Amino acid sequence: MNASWTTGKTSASGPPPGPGVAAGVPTVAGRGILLMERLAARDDQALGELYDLFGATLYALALRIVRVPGDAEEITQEAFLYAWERAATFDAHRAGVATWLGTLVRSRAIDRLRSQQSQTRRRAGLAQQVAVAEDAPRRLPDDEAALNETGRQVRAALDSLPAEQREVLEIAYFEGLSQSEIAERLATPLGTVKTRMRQGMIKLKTMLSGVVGLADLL
Amino acid sequence: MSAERLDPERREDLVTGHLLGALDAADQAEFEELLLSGDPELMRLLEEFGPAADALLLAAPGVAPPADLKRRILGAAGVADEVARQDSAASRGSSASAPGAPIAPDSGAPRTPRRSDFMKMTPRGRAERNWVLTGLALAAAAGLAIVSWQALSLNHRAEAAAEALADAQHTIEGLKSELDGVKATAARQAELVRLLAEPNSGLVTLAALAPAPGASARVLWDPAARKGYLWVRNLPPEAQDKDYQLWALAGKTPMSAGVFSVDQDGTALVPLDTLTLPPEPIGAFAITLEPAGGLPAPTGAILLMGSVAG
Repeated sequence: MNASWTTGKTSASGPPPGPGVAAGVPTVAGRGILLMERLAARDDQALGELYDLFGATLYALALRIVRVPGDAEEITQEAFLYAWERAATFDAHRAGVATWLGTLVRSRAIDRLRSQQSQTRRRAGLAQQVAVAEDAPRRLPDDEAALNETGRQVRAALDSLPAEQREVLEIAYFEGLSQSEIAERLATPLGTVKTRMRQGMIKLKTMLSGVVGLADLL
Repeated sequence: MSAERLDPERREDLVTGHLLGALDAADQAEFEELLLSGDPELMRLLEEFGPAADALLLAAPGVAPPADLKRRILGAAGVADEVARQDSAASRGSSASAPGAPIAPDSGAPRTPRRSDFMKMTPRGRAERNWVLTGLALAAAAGLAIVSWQALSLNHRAEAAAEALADAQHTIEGLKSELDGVKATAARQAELVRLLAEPNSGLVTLAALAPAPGASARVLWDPAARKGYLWVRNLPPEAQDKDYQLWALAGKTPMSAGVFSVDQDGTALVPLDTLTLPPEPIGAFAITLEPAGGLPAPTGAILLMGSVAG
């Protein structure tokens, strides 16, 4: 494992506090932890700051999964309300704030994706999604710019995988299908799906180990 | 399969599938078993692949959320005052107007009315006041809708949590049952080893007689402790109204040692301490097929029989 992967998370989560500090400046991950501590102390302003830090990333993740802007907004809202209500249960030793919130959003989005109510709206929402993407303001804070740049590198790494491996990873992560469901959809043997998933993750891990500052974000 | 013998690629399959949430139930159970065993290689792989899986949340195409989403979230959380402060600060920062001048509407979402706005109203502002009251009523309705939505959302989350808990309890019960079975097998094997090591124990082979060709049975028996095990193979499964019955022959008198059944493949492993062995010295064992529940004296043909040595 590349050392740069673990340095940020370990320093972000390990005692003593000093979470996620790089060169004297708190990293995104470190600031996320500090904001969670303020949320737990019922600091009203912290919720808005947490949204500024991760809102766009989480909304983009929700939209990528459900493909309906209205659903993505509701899911993003649910995640931040959950963080507000349950901030005290957040454990920085188990996951970074972005990972914690991302897991919440992904889980809820996949649940939504599977629900019957959302099917029709999803079909109708595809065109709307394009419109939102084109009209969306791009005046992002520096932190979100950093997240966007790292996101670009993660997407580039994913795009450089062999198509059949990328396809399996994307279906699993963004659609929440199990390996046997993926095998059925692709009319591919289950063993082949498992192999593609393993090989894809090995390559992705290798490529992402070269992305500087990734651990400072998650 | 034990962790030591697990194929390395299989372990990677389990870890990558788990991190992507894509394992099917059987594989997930295998993964959890390995995890519970504290398999160090599994832990290492989880640490190694974890960041790559986490990074996928950044892989969604960049799309900015609607401008008013933050306001809605803060409002739903009941921290709208913070929004108001931000509005106020933004307005002061963007306007060159003198202090006390009306705040120009910004280009974003509508601002939350403040008490000071009403304090400044003049009679000519009645129409505006009505407009504001209407706005307040709408805001209250929107607030009620948000609270209702939150309640529904909480209900949904509670139901999902209850389902997950029920699933987990079901899994735990299944694992407990499995563990009980493993414990019982282990206890039986320990008892067998103890019996084999016992100097007074003996192995009695029961030979198949004409009515049950191909059947075989053995009794591992400790005469002093009057405990043992009966193994049976290749006996046809008994009818519903029948039971196999083991007889202990003390002298020439057969005494019932109890009834037993065989599996579909004709086998049985019966601890003799669950059957009732007679107190007299036993010279031989025999098996017959009798009416369900057994009889005080045999009526069926002897299927298997063997003598106790010495």
